[in-house]
Amino acid sequence: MRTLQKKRVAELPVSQQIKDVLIKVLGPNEEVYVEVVGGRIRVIL
Amino acid sequence: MMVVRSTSMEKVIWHVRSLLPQLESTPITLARRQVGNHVIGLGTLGYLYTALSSVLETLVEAGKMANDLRLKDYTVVMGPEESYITTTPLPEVIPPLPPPREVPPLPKQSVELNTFGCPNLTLGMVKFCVGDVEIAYYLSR
Repeated sequence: MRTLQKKRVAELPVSQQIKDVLIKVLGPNEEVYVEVVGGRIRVIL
Repeated sequence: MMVVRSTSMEKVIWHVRSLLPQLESTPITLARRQVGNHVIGLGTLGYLYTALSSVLETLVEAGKMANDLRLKDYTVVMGPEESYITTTPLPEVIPPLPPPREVPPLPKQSVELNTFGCPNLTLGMVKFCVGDVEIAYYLSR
């Protein structure tokens, strides 16, 4: 069962460093999908 | 000019045949330079390749022809213009040929996929990874 969550870039549960880059590239309000695959976080743009 | 006796035919054919791949695996021309009326191909083995190919072809054809004519002892004479078979036993004239050697096989092309730091690939997605985070997007189809 695959669980995709829609999240704003600013709310992503990833380290600040990575988030900062994504905010710069996409903007804080851009919505992306997040899923957890084998203990890893996958951010789908 | 080459003169080959029927007894050496097999050996010479085999020798020439084994030299051709060596020439083939060598770059033909690296550069051309005109010196007076001559054009010199630096690193050119093309002429040699053509000459050896034609020697091989002539020897093979002569062998077949001799067989058709049921000739056992014969001599093949190859000149620059024409070649012929004679039953007169002539002394052999065979230029010194380099010993055949193994041609190293061409290196196989290897394909390495760049996984951009990810431990695996996901079908239909392009992704790169930073630590435990994958940044991915779907490939358009």
